[in-house]
Amino acid sequence: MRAAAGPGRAATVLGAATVVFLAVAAFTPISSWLHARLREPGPAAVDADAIVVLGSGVMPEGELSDHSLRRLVEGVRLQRRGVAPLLVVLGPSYGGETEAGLRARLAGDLGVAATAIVVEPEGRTTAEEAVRVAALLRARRLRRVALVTGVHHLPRARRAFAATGLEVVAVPVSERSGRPRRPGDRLALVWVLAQEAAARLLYRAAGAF
Amino acid sequence: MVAVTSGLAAWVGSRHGRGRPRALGAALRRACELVGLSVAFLALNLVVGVTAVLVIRRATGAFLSMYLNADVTLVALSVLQAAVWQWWRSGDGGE
Repeated sequence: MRAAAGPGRAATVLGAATVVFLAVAAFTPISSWLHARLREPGPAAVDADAIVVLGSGVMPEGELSDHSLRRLVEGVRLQRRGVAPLLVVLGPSYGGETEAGLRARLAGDLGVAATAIVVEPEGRTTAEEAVRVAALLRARRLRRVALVTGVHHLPRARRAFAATGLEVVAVPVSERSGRPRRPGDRLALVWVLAQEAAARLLYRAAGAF
Repeated sequence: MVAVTSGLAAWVGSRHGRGRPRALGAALRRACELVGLSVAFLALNLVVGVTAVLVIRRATGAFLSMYLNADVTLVALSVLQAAVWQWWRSGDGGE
């Protein structure tokens, strides 16, 4: 049987290339290599006016998602170590209590003074969070932030916050392994990297940075 | 594991079914075509989805998360679209 001409042949070539790509992504450490190339290293030391913990999500049961919890714990850890006097927690409502409100309560339970916690629940995207946090800190004459978010989200987030005039110290939080061992986990990592690459293109096109 | 079951299926197909070795190459090419069509449909779905989110946000003020477009069910649906389209174009109506 002859191979289909025109679009059929193009689809066949695209399909073969996709299968090869998926096999390489799933069965070689290329995802780890990409992760290592694209991640931003954490700072040796952090000193800031405020710690800003970016939103991530709330489960339908009203509890912080795993990623949200990881980010918050890192923010609380920095605040308790004296990196900055102020802890700004972000995250909108997903139908119930806001993510920022849930985080503020948990931060208080973990020993952060209520006067040190600022709740900002209105930002729904990274760009909105950057604009709102910049305005909030500008009103307090603060401009150096320790930006706490997922390691793959950080490059885009850092650029979005820096574009508002803030001085950004990037604090990456691991939300998935950068050295996955299973094919499914490697493909999931490649998918996350692809999503962030697409998001960066979208932000650049929209003029967010 | 997959190599073992694929080899077993090829043996069963050639010994006990109507599978001819030459037809296996054509079947692999059709499989690649299906994958390629799935990628094309996925790309199209993503373009439409991203555009829809941006338009709805701008036109209505309502917020829709862009991550709706990253749901894994979109991949499965794209494969289904590709399969139906491939079979429809090739006239394979189950006959």
